[in-house]
Amino acid sequence: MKGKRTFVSLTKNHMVDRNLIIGLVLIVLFVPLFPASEFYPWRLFDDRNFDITLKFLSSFYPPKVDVEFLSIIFYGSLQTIAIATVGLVFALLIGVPASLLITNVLSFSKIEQGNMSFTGCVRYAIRLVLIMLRSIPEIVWALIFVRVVGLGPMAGILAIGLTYGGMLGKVYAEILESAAGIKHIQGMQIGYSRFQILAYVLIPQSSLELVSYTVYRWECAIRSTVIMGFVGAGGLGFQLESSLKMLHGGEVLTILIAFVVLVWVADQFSSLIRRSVR
Amino acid sequence: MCHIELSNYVKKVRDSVTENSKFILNQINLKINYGDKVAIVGPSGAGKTTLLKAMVFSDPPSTGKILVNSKNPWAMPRSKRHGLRKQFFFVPQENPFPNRQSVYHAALGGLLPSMNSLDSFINLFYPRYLNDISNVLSKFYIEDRVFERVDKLSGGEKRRISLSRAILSKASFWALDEPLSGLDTGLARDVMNILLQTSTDRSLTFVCSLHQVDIALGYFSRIIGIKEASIVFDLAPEQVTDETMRKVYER
Repeated sequence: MKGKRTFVSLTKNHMVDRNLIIGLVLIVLFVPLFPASEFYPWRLFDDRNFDITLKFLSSFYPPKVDVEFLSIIFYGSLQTIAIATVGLVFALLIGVPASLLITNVLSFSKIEQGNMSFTGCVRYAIRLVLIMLRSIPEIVWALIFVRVVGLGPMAGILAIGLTYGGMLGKVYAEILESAAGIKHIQGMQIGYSRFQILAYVLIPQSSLELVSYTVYRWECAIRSTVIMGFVGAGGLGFQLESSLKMLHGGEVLTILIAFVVLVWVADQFSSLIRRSVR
Repeated sequence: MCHIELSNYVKKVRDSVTENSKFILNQINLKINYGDKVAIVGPSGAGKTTLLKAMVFSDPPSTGKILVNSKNPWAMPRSKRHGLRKQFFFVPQENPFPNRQSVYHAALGGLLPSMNSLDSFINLFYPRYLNDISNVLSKFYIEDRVFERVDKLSGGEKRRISLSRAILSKASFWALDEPLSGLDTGLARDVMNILLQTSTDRSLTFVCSLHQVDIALGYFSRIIGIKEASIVFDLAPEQVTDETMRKVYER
């Protein structure tokens, strides 16, 4: 009886202490972030700044809607979608094989004994490559590729492919790892091969997560394609950059509306796909 | 002839709170012969599941030894050990198949260990073993659900899919963990009859853990009582008295 009581009080104390300490540490760490990031929201509403902001924004109205400009925007939107989609396919070519190589749920030595071995080191090396791919922002890749392959969509596609390949590889591996557990160990217990564990246990377990993450990344790719247009990698962003530079407020507003529509369409499309997987 | 043998088999885990190591299996000595029909009984937490997993060499012992056909699987290279696993079919207490899968694919799990990669890939899209699987499912009265999704099924129906996998498998050793959980009494007896009939026809070695003492005594040729990580008795059902059973289950 005595043993039981110490068990309960011990766990309780553990939890309370731990949560309290974590909470305090987070608060202490958060406070100095304000001055460090120079975040002073009241400056937005200084008289002088407020005037400038208002003037700038009012120059946007009315949006430019002549047929010629709209057709340029339409073509630019299609190009944006194309860059994002082709870029994502390229990213899948990197991400899928990489995730299968780095995930530890297909490693029998890991499942059986839980130890790191030689294959563990190889997995870690590939993980480092993926970290390198995604730690360089796609805009930097785009800047580099614009130099290499010239202005245009090609640079955008390569940039999306490399950065997103790094992200997909890491996150797919983690999704598979979170789907792992008793069920996949039991596959191993009765002699499934790695492919069978993957195709008959892990992927059905996590298909919804895998698809939604991929579709979410596609949405993100559309948004980053827009940004990469600024450095000359094709699509709508290229238009936006020139309109901003020439201070054509009406054109800017039209392009911003096109962005919103584009993201809305992407959102509708991705929720459609997610529903069909469920 | 001896199918598997455990000698001085010990399995310890580290208790996460007290940091002491705790025995889940303590000095187990056990021989299981080809064709044996063994029921393991004992209270919850006694180590029944761990004992079954030890028999299918799911993870290595802390100390002690297991011999399969007089060879130690833990002394083999990993690929050889993994190949040997195809002859052992373990059905866990929880359903081993993912929920987002058809009944066909869930039941196919029994055949997968004996299938090659190409065949298992084709079966993702085209059900090549529909006849075999429907036949086995019909023994358990669920053949009409073969294309339904697993998560539409009741607990008892899922349980029967798990057991269909064992019948479909080409293994020579069955280790079933609580095969009758979630089944009503009438169904439980039907299912046990089918399992024993099949295992006798194929002269399989059949080991299972059971909570239903009456079924254990009525159907199996050997009863092992286990309590607090150790074997308390290992007897033929005629030799098991109320007194021996009470000793295992009393606190």
